[in-house]
Amino acid sequence: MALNAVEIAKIGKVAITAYGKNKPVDQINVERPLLDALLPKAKDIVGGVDGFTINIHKSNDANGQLWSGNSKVTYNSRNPNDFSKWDWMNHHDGFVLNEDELKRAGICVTDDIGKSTANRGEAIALTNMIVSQFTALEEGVKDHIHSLLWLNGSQNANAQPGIDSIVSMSPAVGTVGNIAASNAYWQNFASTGLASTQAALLGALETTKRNIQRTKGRFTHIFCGGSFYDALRNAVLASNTTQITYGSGSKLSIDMATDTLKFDGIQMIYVPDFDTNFGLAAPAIPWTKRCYILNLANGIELHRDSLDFMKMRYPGRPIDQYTYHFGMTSKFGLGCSKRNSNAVLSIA
Amino acid sequence: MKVTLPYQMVLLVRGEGSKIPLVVLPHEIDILHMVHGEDSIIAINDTPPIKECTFDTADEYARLEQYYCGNINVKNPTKSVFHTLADFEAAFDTIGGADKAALIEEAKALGIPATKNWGVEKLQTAINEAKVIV
Repeated sequence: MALNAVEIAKIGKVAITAYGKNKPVDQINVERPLLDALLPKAKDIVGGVDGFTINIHKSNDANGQLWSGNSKVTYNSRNPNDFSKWDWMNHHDGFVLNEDELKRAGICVTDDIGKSTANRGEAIALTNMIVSQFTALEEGVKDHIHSLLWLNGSQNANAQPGIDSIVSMSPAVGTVGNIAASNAYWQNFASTGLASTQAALLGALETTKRNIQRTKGRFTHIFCGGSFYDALRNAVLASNTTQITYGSGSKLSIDMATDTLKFDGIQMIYVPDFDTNFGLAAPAIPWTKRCYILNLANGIELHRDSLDFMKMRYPGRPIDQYTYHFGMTSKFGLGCSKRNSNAVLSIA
Repeated sequence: MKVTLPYQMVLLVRGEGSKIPLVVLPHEIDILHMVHGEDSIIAINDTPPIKECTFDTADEYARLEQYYCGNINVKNPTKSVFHTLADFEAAFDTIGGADKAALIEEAKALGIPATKNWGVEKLQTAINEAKVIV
């Protein structure tokens, strides 16, 4: 039987609650697969007036002719190259702590230079407040950067276009990376409103693969939202039945989970943020219904400042406040060297 | 209040090198102007109509506030364009909404071939003319 209030008050004079001192267990952070995939191959931003550029080969301007006898041949002037032009953005996140709250959390800040030593205050700290704040800062920054890599950049005047613009649902409209999207070579593939049947989904995936291969492209990653993933999984399940024969007395062990969905040897990676529209409201085609087939090897490129990407910053202390500011800054932007090596699909 | 509006496509100009196609609802264009500048949006007239969206005005107002949130130290662009939810709802008297739906019903009852693309003014004129004839 539970103790009554008087009994609890009495015990409260002689004992404290057995508070845990474990590292705080994360309840909210999700995987950020695009950021994880792009970071190892990220290119450096070196400065320059106008962001960065990526050279492309757009046309052979071929002028082949057949001739015989004295017939004449002609020569042409060629313009095979162009460059796509991209820009990067500045990102900041930061927090402030004051001496008062630090002291109460068991952390004593002094202006003494030299070794820091443990003090008695540590006994009352359940978890290291500064470490927790730094963890929260880093996780928050990763979340925001991951969303900026996907969103189209319309949400903020300082945001640069992400995958939603580069691998567009309307691939022939607009200007992307300073090259008109009306150029057939500068269009990604898009197939929207797909029925949730195996024939429609696998048909679209196969067609997309062939379209990408046509110009010597390849794809390296497939990212999709929960609805697309389920639609494909259910469509495949519905048309595939496995029959198992077993004798009496024998046992069956059946694991009914879907291990991985793959297409052309590439795992379809579920992006948790798609199901929440990155914490924003759903666009015309909700993210959860989308599937992005991307070339992250030589298609989509992350350019970031190697000296300033998720870099801790320690601004000075104001002269009239005993506060400590901590910031994390990043300079980064997406570029694309081959739009027609990427595709987006969506179910209806 | 429930409103049904068609999505439309516009181009968002970002610097000289980028014109991004956006699929937005008509009232978002004013907010995009506020966020990106007056010359930043180009209307595209030759795209086929995209699907319609039915939304509750309070939900949509909250969505706009959240999506076009800007930075914390500047006024929310959605609030700069539509100060309150009431202002936002008032905007639909001219571009759509429950009143318009009622007018379309009334017009159809009078034998006028009205569609959702008709403006409120056009509907009212047609209804008044039809009533005079009757």
